[in-house]
Amino acid sequence: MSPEVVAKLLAGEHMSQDEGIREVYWAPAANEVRLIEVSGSVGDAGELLPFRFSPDPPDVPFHSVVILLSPRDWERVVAGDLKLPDTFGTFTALERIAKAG
Amino acid sequence: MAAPSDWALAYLEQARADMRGADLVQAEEPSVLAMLLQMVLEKLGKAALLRSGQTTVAAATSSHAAATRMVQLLSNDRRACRRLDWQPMVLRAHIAPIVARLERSQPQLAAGGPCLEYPWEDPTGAILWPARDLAIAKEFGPKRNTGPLLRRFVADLCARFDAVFPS
Repeated sequence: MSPEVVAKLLAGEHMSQDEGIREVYWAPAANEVRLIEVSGSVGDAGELLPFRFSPDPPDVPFHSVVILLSPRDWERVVAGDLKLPDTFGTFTALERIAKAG
Repeated sequence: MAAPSDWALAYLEQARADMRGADLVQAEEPSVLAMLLQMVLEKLGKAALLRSGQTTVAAATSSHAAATRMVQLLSNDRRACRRLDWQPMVLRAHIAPIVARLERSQPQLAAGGPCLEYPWEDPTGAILWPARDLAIAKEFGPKRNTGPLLRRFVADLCARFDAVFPS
C-alpha cells in the first residue's frame, strides 16, 4: 500500500469524524504520511502544530504526521506568513487529496 | 545540545508526576485539580509535539495551544482512540471543550483576567481567586462529572502515550 493511498484513507476517516474539515492536503514522502487538514471546527492557533501518530497495520503501515489548521491559519500558510515544516516542502508541493462537499 | 526526543521524555515524565499529584488531590480542592490537569495536558501536548520530528524545541515548548490541538486531533482519529480505549465522540463532545477552556485559563493566556493559578481583579475592582470564583474550577467539584471524566482521560493518555505518539 502506497503512502498516497494511506493518506487518502486517513483523510476520509478524519473527515468522517470532523465534519468541519474542508480540505486535506498531502505532502508526498516515501516512508511517512504527512497531512494538512483545514477545519472550521478548530480555532486559530497562529502556529503550526504537527503531531506524529503510530502506524496501524495492515491498513496504515506508515507513521502519519497531521497538522490541523483553522481556515484563517491556512490562509496564513498560503500567504507565507506561517511556514510549513521543512519536511513538508513548500506550499506549492502539496497535493489536495480531499475536499468537503 | 539535547535532542527533541530528550525533551519529549522529560515533558512526558513530568506530566506523569503531575498526574500522580492530581490523583492525590482528586476533588478535595477542585481548583487545584483543574490546575494540575491543565498542567498535565500542557506537558503531554508539548511532549507529543516534540516527538513529531517536525518542530523545534523552542517552538514546541513555547506553544500555548498544544493540548487543545492534540485532543482535537485525537478526536478525529479513531485508530488513536482505539489505542486509548476511548470513543472519538466522547473526546469530541466532552473532553475537547473542557481542555480548550482549561488551556484558555492558564495565566499566560488569561491576560490578567480569570485564571487557574492566581487572583485577579474584576471590572468592579473586586479581587477574586480561583478556588472561590473561577467558573471552570467549580466543574471539578465532588458532585460534578467533569473532574472524574477528564482525570480518567488524562490518566489513560499518560499511561498509553507511547502507543499513540511513538518516540
